[in-house]
Amino acid sequence: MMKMFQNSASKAFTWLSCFVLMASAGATQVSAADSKLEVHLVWGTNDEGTSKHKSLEPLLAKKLGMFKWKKYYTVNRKEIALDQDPQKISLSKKCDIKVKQLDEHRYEINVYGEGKHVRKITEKITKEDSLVIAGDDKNDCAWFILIREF
Amino acid sequence: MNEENKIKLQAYLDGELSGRDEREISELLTTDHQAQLLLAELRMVKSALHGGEPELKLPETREFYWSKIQKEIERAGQGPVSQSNSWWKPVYARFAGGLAAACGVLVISFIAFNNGPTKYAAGEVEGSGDEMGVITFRSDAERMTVVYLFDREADDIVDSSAD
Repeated sequence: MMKMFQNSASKAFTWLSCFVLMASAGATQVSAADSKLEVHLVWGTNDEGTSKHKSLEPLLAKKLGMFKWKKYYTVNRKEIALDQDPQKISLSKKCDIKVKQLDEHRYEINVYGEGKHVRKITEKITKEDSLVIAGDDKNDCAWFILIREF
Repeated sequence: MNEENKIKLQAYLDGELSGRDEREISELLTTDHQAQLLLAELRMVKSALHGGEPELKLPETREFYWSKIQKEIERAGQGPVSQSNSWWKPVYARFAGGLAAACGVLVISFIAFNNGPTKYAAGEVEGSGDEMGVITFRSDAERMTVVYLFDREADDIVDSSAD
């Protein structure tokens, strides 16, 4: 009698473990698929002339206010929904990034300039906490890749 | 390169050095590659950021402003400021203006000397090649981490004229 009880308890435990494992795997997948990132390629300049690009939205321009440039333009804006595979997106002819989600808000971003790998950055990104990758451009201008969740 | 030279390098960039110190740093810059790189990074930070060292306009003269502070300290019961000749006072007096900014910048700049993966508070930056420098900093006010990439060879880093 005791042996029968032990056997059925053991089977129940095995099934329960399988169920918990499957449920947690499913939950992880849902969480990863839900992650969406907004990526802006921004150009900063002190040139007073007009640009063919659209001015960066004021909230984001304020974020970049610590830099010396007076005007910021959105060169490109992309939204990406991440699954478990890394995604490579092209922001301009010269600039690509590859984004991989490591865990809930942690991302690995590989930056490519003219096809050449430049830097790998691992950073926490949320709706509130953004990542800016920046660099000098010609004529005393600068480029910025601004990434945040949305 | 020791910490003192790093601070002097910042003071040199800010045009705060003179005489022997200035000559020392100029000579250091001709021989020490690490010093050249640090100067380039400090220049980059200075040129890319604005408002890092705000110049406050006082409504009264500098002497009157500081005399008011001294009087307040005395009034608070701490007595007059000691006039003893401590060895660090002239050094502090010389570098006090840029010390806070220099410390901040040096902390940031230290990151760029590591050739391997650079770990900072929240993340990590990894890259190949010495030609590209990287400075990482966090703005808590804007809740934003900045990774600034720059070409180390772009500037004439040996140019000894302070900005």
